[in-house]
Amino acid sequence: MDQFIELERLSKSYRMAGEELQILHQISLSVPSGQYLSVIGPSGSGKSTLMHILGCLDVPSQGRYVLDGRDLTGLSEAALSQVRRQSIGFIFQSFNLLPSLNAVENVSLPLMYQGIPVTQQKERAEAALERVGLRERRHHRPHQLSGGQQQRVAIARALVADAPLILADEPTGNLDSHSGEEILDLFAELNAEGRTFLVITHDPAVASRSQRIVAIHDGTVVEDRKVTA
Amino acid sequence: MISQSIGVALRAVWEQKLRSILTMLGIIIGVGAVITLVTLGHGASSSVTKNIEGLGSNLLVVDVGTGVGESFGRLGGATTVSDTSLAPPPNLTLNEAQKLGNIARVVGVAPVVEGSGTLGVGTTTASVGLVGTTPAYQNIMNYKLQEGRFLTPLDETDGENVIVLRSTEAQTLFGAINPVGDTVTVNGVPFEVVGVLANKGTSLGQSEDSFAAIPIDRAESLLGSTSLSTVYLSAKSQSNVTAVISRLDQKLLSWIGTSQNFSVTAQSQILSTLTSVQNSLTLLLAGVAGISLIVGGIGIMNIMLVSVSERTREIGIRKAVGASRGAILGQFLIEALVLSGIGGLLGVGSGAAASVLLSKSFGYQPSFHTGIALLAFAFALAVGLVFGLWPANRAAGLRPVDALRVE
Repeated sequence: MDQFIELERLSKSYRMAGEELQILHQISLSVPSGQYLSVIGPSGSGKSTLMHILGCLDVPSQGRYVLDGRDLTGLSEAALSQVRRQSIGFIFQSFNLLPSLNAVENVSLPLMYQGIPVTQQKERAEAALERVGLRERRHHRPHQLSGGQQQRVAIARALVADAPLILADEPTGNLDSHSGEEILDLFAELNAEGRTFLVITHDPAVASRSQRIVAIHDGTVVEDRKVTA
Repeated sequence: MISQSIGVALRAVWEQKLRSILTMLGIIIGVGAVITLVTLGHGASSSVTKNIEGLGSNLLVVDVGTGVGESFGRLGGATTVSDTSLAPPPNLTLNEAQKLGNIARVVGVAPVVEGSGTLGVGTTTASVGLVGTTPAYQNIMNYKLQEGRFLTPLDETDGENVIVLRSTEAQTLFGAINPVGDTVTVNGVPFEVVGVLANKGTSLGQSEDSFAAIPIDRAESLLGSTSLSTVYLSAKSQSNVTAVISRLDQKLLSWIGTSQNFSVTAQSQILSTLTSVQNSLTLLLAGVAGISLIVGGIGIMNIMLVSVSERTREIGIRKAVGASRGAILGQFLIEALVLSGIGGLLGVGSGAAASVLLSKSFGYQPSFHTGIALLAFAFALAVGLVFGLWPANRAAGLRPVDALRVE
């Protein structure tokens, strides 16, 4: 199987108050296409920073990041935003929907930034909402939806542009266990359709739903194991 | 995508209605003020121009008296020179004045002896400026007859006491009755009214001072004065005015000796001076109004900066789902342009309304200039663009990871 994500000795450090703060130490990681991977670790371990770099929201200080055969190291801000647009769907703990837009409009956003005509945006957004079971609530605004429903809208937004990589940061962190289960069921279905999933979590129960668990501690990989069903 | 961005911007503006209106207020006032002031300025100039043209743009005024040539910008010539105490007073005789008519391209000469007089009919009296002059005065000063006739050459030779009134005084003294043929006393001496001049309407300068015209020799004996203070001349056409002025200057210099004691003014010069004063005044006012537009722009910048910091998270989300730097820049720029554009339109509307209302109340011809409206609107957009650029650039430059971290 070809490697979809390849990290080579990736490091990230910040300068804070004149002090060098090393967040990630020489992380090397390969993720094959279609894998469902969990990254676990306590808060402060660097897992969120790792997700930001994988999601092209931040850039590494050192090391190489290859996504789908393309070396992203040193790409411009414009090129990185194109990668985000075409290849990556984000799911956040706090959903990150725009409160002033309804479900269809929120889901349409990635298509709008791809310059897709409005009528097609609407069709595809409605199809994505149908996929997550929220078609009849498509004209609701986020505040009119439950947490689980909001997260499903966010999933529809991650799916709508057919991004091959879905990055989820504590996707069930703000949900009750029942809604959380529904979301994880949906992840499993979507993964079965061939999308690569990378879920950041500190919850072992969430991690246990994936195929592989990578544990991070103080910016280094301390464990990398397959999940046996 | 542009139309969608405009939709997004309109929505953002609509969601903060009060804030948007307050932000736009600066632009509304600025644009409205520019349009109103320029329109009123134009109205004022054209009304002044019309009034002065009513006096005759070919009109030349020769004033004689001590120190007259030193003062500048006298409007017309009815003001009497008070400073006659210094000896010897400069003088121009009637004969000399008539000779000025021999200058090439001078088509009319009206020497004037002036003084004040009291008109009386029974117990009713009216104070007027008494103008002793010749028949040419009517045409040179552009007066229209309402009743009867003006002075004629015959009046100068037969020594009859005849007087021509102006409509206002005729009404004061005689009411609605046609006074022609009736008698009026002038400083106690009876005169026969032979004509009534129509009023010219409001105007600058002396033409609306109350006056009555009598033959020049009657005025000399009535006022006990033989010195001419003013001579009105008319040039053949406005293009001859400059040439005539220099000829007049030469001749008067040779008679009077010093240019300090006479002045030659052309109505058309006054007109062009006034027009340029009006224009620079209009420009000044428009400039002041333009400053309020810039202040309005700063208001937009302020609100856009607030908006950017309030919506940092939104910017982060938009960037995460693929918005490029340009898309975010465009979104906030369009929002600034929508604010200034709507403000500009409202400003054009209120400016047009204010122009028409104020023009009417000032009695000007209401004239709305589309060019000015377009210019003010374009300026408002430019202000929005310039002052929106910094906040928009700030939004676009946010790093997505930082923007997402903001709660």
